[in-house]
Amino acid sequence: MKPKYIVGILIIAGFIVFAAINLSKSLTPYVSVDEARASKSVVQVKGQRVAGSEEFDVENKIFRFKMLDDKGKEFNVIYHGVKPANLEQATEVVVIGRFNQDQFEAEQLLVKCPSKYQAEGA
Amino acid sequence: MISGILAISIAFVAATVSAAAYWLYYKENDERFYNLANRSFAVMGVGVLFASVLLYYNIFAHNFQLNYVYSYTSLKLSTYYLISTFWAGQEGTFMLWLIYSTVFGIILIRTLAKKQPLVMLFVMLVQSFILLILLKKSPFAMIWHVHADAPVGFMPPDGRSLNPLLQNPWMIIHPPIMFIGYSSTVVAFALSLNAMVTRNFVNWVKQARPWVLFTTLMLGTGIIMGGYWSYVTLGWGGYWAWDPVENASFVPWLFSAVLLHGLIIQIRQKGLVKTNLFLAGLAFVSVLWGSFLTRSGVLADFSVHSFAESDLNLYLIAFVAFFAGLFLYYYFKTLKLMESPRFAEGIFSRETFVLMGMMSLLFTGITVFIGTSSPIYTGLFGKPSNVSAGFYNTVSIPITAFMLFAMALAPLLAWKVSELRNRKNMLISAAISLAITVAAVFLGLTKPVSILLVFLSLFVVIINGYVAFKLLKKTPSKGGAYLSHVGIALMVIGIITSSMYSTSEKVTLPAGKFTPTNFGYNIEFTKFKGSPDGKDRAQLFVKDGNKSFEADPQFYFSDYTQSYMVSPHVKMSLAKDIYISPISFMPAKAANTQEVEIVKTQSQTVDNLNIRFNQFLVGDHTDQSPMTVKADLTVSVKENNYSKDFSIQPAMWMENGTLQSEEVSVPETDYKIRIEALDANQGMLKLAVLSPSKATGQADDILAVEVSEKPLISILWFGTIVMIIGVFVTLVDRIKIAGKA
Repeated sequence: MKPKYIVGILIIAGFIVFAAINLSKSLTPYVSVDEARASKSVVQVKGQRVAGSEEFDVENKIFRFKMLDDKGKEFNVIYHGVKPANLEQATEVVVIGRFNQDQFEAEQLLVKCPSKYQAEGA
Repeated sequence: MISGILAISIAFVAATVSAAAYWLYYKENDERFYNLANRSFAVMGVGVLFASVLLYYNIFAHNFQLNYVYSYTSLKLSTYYLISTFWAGQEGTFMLWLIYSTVFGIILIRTLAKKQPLVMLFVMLVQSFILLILLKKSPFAMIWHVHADAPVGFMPPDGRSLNPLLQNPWMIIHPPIMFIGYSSTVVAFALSLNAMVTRNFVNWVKQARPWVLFTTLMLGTGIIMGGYWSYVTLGWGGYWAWDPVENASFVPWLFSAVLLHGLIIQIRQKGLVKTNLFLAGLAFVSVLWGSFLTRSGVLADFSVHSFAESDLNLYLIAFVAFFAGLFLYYYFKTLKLMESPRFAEGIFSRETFVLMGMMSLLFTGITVFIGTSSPIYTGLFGKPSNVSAGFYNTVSIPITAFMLFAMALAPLLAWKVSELRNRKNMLISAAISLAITVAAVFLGLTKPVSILLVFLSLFVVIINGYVAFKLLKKTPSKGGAYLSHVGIALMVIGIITSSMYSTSEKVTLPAGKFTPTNFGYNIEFTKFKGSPDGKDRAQLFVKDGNKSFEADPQFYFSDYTQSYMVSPHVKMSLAKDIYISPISFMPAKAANTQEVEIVKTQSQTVDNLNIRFNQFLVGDHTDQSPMTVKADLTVSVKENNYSKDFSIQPAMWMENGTLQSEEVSVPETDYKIRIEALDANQGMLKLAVLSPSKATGQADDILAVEVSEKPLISILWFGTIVMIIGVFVTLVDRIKIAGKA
């Protein structure tokens, strides 16, 4: 075999391994609160906010609220950021992050609205 | 609407008849079948045209009895937006698809259908499938067919209107361009199938080339427009989010671009016969797959886009499976017959480097394809998971570096020989790129990955720019190709500076005060300004030393989406964009405590709370202090004509000689209640009701905004224009050459 092909195959194999490792690392499943508590990695939890549980610290921009997951279990969420405008209208809230002691530290707080806009793709 | 459904039904029958007749003409070689096929095609075309005109007529006549017209239009939409409502919904985009493939069909009939009728057979098969989908999900369904509670003959006074996000000039033009791109992939697909059935694996390549160029141009332009629209209107701060809808358009573009380069190699070197045939199938099937992913609702949980739940799943899966199966059947049936000569002997030959470029595009495409589909296959083995945007970003870095390396050296290499001819040019370009990169490092380009990518990009820009400049006049088709590479490399630079070096800060702005930011400028929020179209804007004043500017990002509540909508203010300049996007608004709430006195077994109302005092609870054994008195209250929280009862028991006790009491929250509200005083003998209770404001205590209206700076994003947009011009010049020249031949 020519060295060119060997180099080519090595590059391709290296890339596939690199991509596969990154893929498995970044897969973030939707889990329930209990599973999130047990998990050490970043997960996403989907659920409903508990109305009236929001507290926003304007000075430090820390937003806390309570959520119910799909199984109806309540948990505390802390989000270092600003309360999103559409929280009250949200049909569903998704938090991505991990549990730290007794609260879910959300890196991302996604709010799903009745119809953001219809997919305009293929 | 029966006439529209009839038109689509007739078009469907005509399309299938036409497909069958092209087949018979191929088999029997009887001219009459060819004429029948073309006539049926004409009938199909008239049916599609009639249906389109009818849909437009109903849109402009505001016939809200049609569910499509009701769902996407309204009386107050302007003419331009009424035009764009044609493709606001799924049915309309399929119609658009039909119109385009009819036009492509006309071109194919006039150029090659007589000699290669099977090409039209495959185009008509695809057409039949789309028509079938439109019979299932018809744009002419009446409102009472779709909404069970609407009585037959019901005419709503107004429509639900177009999503305000789509009421944007870019959204008038973006979807039609995307769909030209999507629908045009069918031509290379049909040509490759024809090549396999007729076992002539060579001729299709030259025929397909301008079509693939066209697909690449249209998809590329459409994707860029979508990114720009996202940047200037959606307010999340970026132009590309690796969202399934975006990925579904990116993958076919990548595969088409790979095919484009593969065709060049086959034309030049006769090689890559099997690869090219496969790529033509892959590009088309990836469009169908993208259609399935984004239209069927399977990814609804994994996208910030909301997907309309769809009953088309089965049809869409059948659509993908049928054409993928058909293609693979012929591919493997004829694979052994394909003779693909070896080529590319040495490492430093042009073909090796073009191949490297192809590989990087192909791997990107496959990676994005696998990542986007992840909820489907992970769902088969457990919990559906998606991949984060970080995955795509990380994986693209080595691929991009590899691609840039290939693009930088390719122009210096000759076909068929392995030698570096232009050593001088290479060294000069490398030196210039290195000098600029070093200067950039001193200006703040500090991250190693970005230094490497910027250096390679500059290398690509200089070499390809030099070659493009020399070639553009003589052979525009080649010059354009190099120019498009200049554009791509400029885009890479702009993407790196505007993403890896973007800085942002979330600021809360109390009205009427200047608030400092980390960027050095102060921002004042003055007020909201109403707008006739309902898109209110926040008035901001940004002061940066002596300079200042006013910003007015949109922030408004939309009745259509039942949510707040945000659109940023982008202060553009060559060096950097200042991007200001509202996050939320918190109106001022005066801190107040209301006091109420309630007699036992009676109730009092505070705001929307009805508080009933039932009785005192004394000497509760769970409490340590015997001096504790609790008040048993029933609080009814009234919200939207509906009230909910809660039982709460605030306590009061004696501690170190003074009376102490605790605040108890009323569930599901921000209210808190405390006992102020009590008189057990008289059965009197004095309560302090703390309004929500006490918790957050806020004297001014506060607007929270995210401010970010995007350095050199102008290079990205400039690069996109250069790339589009490059491909456009090449395409025009190729069509001219094809016309002469």
